[in-house]
Amino acid sequence: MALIYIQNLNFTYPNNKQRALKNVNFFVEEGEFVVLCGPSGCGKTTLMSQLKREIRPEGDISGNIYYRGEPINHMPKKQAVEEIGMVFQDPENQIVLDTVLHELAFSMENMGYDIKIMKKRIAEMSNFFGLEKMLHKPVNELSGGEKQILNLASVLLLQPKVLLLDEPTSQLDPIGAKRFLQMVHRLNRELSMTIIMSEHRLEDVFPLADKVIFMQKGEVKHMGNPRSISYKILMSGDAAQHNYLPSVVRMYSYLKKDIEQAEIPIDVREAKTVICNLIDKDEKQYSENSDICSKFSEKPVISLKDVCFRYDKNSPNILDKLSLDIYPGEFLTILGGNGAGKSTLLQIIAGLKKPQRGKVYFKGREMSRIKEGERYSKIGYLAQNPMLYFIYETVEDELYKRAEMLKTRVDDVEKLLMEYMDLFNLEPLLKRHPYDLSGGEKQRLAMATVLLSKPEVLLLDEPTKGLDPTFKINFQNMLDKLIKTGMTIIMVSHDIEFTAGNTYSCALLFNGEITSKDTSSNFFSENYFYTTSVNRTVREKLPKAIILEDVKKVCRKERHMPVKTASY
Amino acid sequence: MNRGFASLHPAPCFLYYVSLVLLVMVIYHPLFLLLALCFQISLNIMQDGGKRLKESIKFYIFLGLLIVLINPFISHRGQTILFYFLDNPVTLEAIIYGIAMMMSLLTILISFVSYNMVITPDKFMFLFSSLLPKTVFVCMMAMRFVPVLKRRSQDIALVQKTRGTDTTTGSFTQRIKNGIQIMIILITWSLEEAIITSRSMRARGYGITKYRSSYFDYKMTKSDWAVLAVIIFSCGNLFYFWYQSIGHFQIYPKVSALTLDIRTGLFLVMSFIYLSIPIVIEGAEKLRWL
Amino acid sequence: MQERKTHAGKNGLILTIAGFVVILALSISGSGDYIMPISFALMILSMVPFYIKFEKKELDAEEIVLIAMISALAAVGRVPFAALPSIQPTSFIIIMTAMTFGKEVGFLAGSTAALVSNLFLGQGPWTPWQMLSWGMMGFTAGLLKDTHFIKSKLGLCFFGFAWGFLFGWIMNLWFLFLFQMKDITWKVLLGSCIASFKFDLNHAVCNIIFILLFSDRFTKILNRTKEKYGLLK
Repeated sequence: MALIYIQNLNFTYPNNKQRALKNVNFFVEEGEFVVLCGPSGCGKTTLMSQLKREIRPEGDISGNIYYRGEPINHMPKKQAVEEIGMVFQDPENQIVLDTVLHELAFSMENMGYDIKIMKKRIAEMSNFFGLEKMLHKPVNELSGGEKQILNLASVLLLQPKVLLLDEPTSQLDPIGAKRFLQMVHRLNRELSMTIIMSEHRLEDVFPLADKVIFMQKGEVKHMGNPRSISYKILMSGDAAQHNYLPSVVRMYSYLKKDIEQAEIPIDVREAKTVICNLIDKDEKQYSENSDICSKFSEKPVISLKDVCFRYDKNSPNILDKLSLDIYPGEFLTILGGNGAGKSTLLQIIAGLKKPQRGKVYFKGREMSRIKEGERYSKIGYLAQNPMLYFIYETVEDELYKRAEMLKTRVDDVEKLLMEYMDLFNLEPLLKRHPYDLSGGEKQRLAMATVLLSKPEVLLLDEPTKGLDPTFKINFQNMLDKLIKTGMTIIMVSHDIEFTAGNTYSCALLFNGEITSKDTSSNFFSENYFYTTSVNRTVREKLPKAIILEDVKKVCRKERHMPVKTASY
Repeated sequence: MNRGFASLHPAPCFLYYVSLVLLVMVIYHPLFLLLALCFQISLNIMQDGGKRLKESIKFYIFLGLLIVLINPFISHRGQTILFYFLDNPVTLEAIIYGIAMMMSLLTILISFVSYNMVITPDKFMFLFSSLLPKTVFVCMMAMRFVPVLKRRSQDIALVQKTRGTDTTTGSFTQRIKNGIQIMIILITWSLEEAIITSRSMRARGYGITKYRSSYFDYKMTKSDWAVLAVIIFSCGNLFYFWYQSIGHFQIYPKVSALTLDIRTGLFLVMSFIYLSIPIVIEGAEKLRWL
Repeated sequence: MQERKTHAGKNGLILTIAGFVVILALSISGSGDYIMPISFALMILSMVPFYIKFEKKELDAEEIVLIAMISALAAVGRVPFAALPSIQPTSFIIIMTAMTFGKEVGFLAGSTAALVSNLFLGQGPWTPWQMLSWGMMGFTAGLLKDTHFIKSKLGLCFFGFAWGFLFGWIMNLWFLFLFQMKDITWKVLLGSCIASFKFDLNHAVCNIIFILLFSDRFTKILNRTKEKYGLLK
C-alpha cells in the first residue's frame, strides 16, 4: 500500500476561474524521495499544502487524498501534525520565537509534550545537526543556512514520517543549500523518511531523488525516476521544459544521437564517463583573448582605489585595500562566499556607504563630491529584496509617481517609462498591489523603477535568487538589451550557472579584496570547485567550455531535435 | 552571564529584588538604607566590575541630589526649624527625610541595574510563563521580531535614500514625511511577511492541543531552596519588625535619636543577613575560583 | 478579532480610575504612609482583568502573530526616525491599531510594546507604569472607535493630543511615588506637570502630526492586513 495516494485531485482558489490543480494523480511509497518541479505558479506549493491539513488554503476541492489507505481528513489532528512535517521556502519568516532553544521546543510545546521528552529529543537533535553551540543564541544571529537547518530540526522533533519541503534551498547560498540537502538526504537514507520536495533547480537534487514529478499549469506533465523523466522531457520537445533539466542531461541530449534512457547521466560523475566518450575533439585552445582590458580601451567608469571598510570601530575590515576598475559597457559579476562583503561592496560602489579609507571614482570624479541626487540617478542600485522599494498601493502608482519625481532630472522619462513597461512586460500588472505580485514580477517592477532615472551603471544584488529558469532566461534577455544600450552592469551573485552563461567578466571577492578578475570563461575554467557542472564534466577535453553553448560551439550537433523556442 | 547570584533559579532572585524594593520603600532606618545602598553597589561591582552602573550612575546621583536639595523647600513639616527661606521654614526633619529618600531611591535604581543582569528576558518570561502562558508567548514572539524589524528598517532607509527619501536632510516636515514613507514600507512588508509566520505556526501544530506545555530549563536545586528559605526567613522577619515598628526611625514630626536596644540590634542583624545574601553568594563563587 | 461580551475591559478601566482617585485622595489628604505599595498593587490589579481575558481566549495563529508583530512595530517605531530625536510614533501606532482591531487588541499591543522595549533596554520601576499607560491608551482608543467623535480627524487629533499629556502625567506619578508621597500636595503635582510640560507637549504634537500625515494610509494598511489574515470573518 502506498503511503500517500492522490486521486483525481482538483483545486480552485476562491474568486478564481482557473483550476490551480487539475486531475492530479500520483502515489508516494514509504521512504521515497520525491521531487516536484516546474515553473513558479505551476501548483507545486498548492499541491503540497493540500497534504498539510493545517495550512490548506480555502477553495473548491474535489478528488481524494489517502494517507496509509485512509482519507487524509480522517486522520486525528494531532497525528496529522506529528506525522506530516513541513519546511517552507523563506528561512527567516518561519521562525516563531526568539532563541534557538525556544524555537526548537516550539512544535513540541504545541503538542503538550512533557519537559522530559522535550529535553531528550532536543539533546538528540542538537547532536544530529550540530546545534549544541548555538542553543542559547538569539535566532537573528544565525545565517540563512543555519536558520533553515533550525526550521528543519524544529519540525523533525515531532518525529514526522513524511517531510514536505517547499523550495527549501531557494533563498540559501550554494554552501548552505548543499548542507541542507545533505541533511535531507541523510534523513531519507538513514531513517527512511519519506521526502516530498519542490525545487526548480534540479542540478543538486536530481541525484538524490527516487521520483521526479514535473508540473505545468496545475497539471502533472511527466513523472518517473530521474532517468525516465529526463527521457520523457527530452522527447516532449518543449524547450521551456528542457530548461528545468540539469545541464549534464541537456548536454548529453545535445551530444548523443539516439538518446538511451538507461544511459542518461544524472550527476557529474556519470556524465564524465558518458559524455567524454561523445566528444571526439580535444580542443584545448579555442579561447578568445583573455586580456580583459584589451576590449575596453576607454577609461574606467567606476574605479575603486585601496578601499577599506568596516562596520564599526572594533570590527575587522570587511573590505581591505580593495582596488577594482570597471569599464563602460562591461557586465561584471562579483562572486564570493557568504558574508564576504559582496553586498557591502555594491553599496559602496552605489555611493550609499562611504569607505573609511580609499577612494571611489565615478567617471574620474570622486564619489563623495558628486551630489547625492546625481549620484543615485547615474548609478542605479537594485537591492536583493525588491520589497524595499514599494511605497504605493498599485503597480501603476509605483511607476508613474516615480516617473513624476524624475521629470526634472530625466528629459524623456515618459518615453522611457513606456519602453520599460514593454521590456519588463508590466502592462498586465498595472492595477495590482505590488505585494501581490510573484517574486519575478516584483523583481521586474523594482528594476523598472530603478532604470527610470536613466542610470549609466546598474548594480544588481542577487537578482536571480529563488527564481525559476524561465524567469532567468527572460531576465538574461532583458540584461542583454540593456547592455546593448551601453549600460554598465555590476552584479553580485551566488548563481554560478547564471553568471557563467551571461556575464562578460567575473571577479572573486575573498578576504576583503578582489583576488582575481578575468573573463567569465577564463575565470571559471581555472577554478576547481567554483565552476559549472558543464565545466566539471568536460574540463579534460574542453577546458574552456563552461556552459552548454560553449560545448555546442565546438561539437556540431548531428541529430536534429524538434525544439520550440522558449516562450515568455 | 551565569555566575554567582545569577546562576540561581530565577524565582529566589526575583523574590529578592521585589522584596528589596518594597523594604527600602518602607524602612527609613539610616543604617539599613546605607547598608542596602553600599551592598547593592558592591553587588554591581562584583557582577560586572560596575560597567553597567557607570553608564547611568551620574544621572542617578543627579536625581538623588535633586531630591535632597528640593525636599526641604517643598516640605515644611517637622519641628526643628533651622532657618527661613522666603518666609518658609526649612526644617532639619525635611533634610533628613530628603537624605533617606535619596538613599532609598538610589538603592532602587541601582538594584535594577543588577536586576537586569540577573533576570534576563528569558528568565523573566519563565517566571510568568505558568501564570500567563499566552501573554509570555506573545512577548517572546515580539522579542523575536524586534531585531528583524530594526534591520529591515535600516535596509529600507538605505534603499530609499537612493530615491531622495532621506530623514537626515531637508526641511523638518519633509524629513518626517520621509520617515513615514520608510515606516509605511516597514509596516506593510512586515505584516505581509508575518502571514508566513502564522502558517509556519499552524504547520507545527499551534492551537492543536488546548494546553501548550512550555520548555524552560530551570530547576530548583537544593541550594536554590536553601537560598529561598534564607530570603523568605530574613525578609519575613524584616517585614514583621517593620509592622511592629521595631527599628523604626522616626523623622516626622520630630527626628528621634538613633538608639540601640536589643530589639533594634536584632533588627540590624537581620538586615545585615538579608542585605548580604547576594554578596555572600557572589563572594563564595569568587573564592572558589581563586 | 471579534469581541465577546465580557466586562474585563471595563473592570480594568474602572479599577485604574478608582486606583488613581484613591491615590490622589490619599496623597492630598496627607495620610499617605503606604501609598507606594498601595499604588503599585492597584496598578498591577487594574491590568489583571485584561490578561485574564486574553489568557482565556482561544486565538488563531494569525491573531497571535498580528498582536506580536504590531507590538514589535510599536516598540521599534522610533528606529526610522533616528535622525529626528523628538519624533516618536509608538502612541500613534497603538491608537490606530486599537481603532482597527478593537479595545482588547489595543490594550495588549500597547502593554506588550512597553514590556518588550523594556526587556530590550532594561526594566525599571517604571516598566509596569508604561505598560499601563500605553495599554490604557490602546484600550480607550478601541472603546471609542465607533463614536463619531473619534471617527472625525479633529476628534482623533484631540484624542491623540490629550493622551500625549495623560501619558506624561501617569509617568510623572510613578516618579512622584518614589518621593514616597508623604509631602505630595496638589502643588507638587502641578509642579511635576509643569516640569514635564515640554516633553508632554512634544508627545502630544507628535501624535497630531502622525494622525494628520499617516492615519489614512495606516488604516488602509491595517484593513488590508485584516483581509489577508482572514480576520474579517
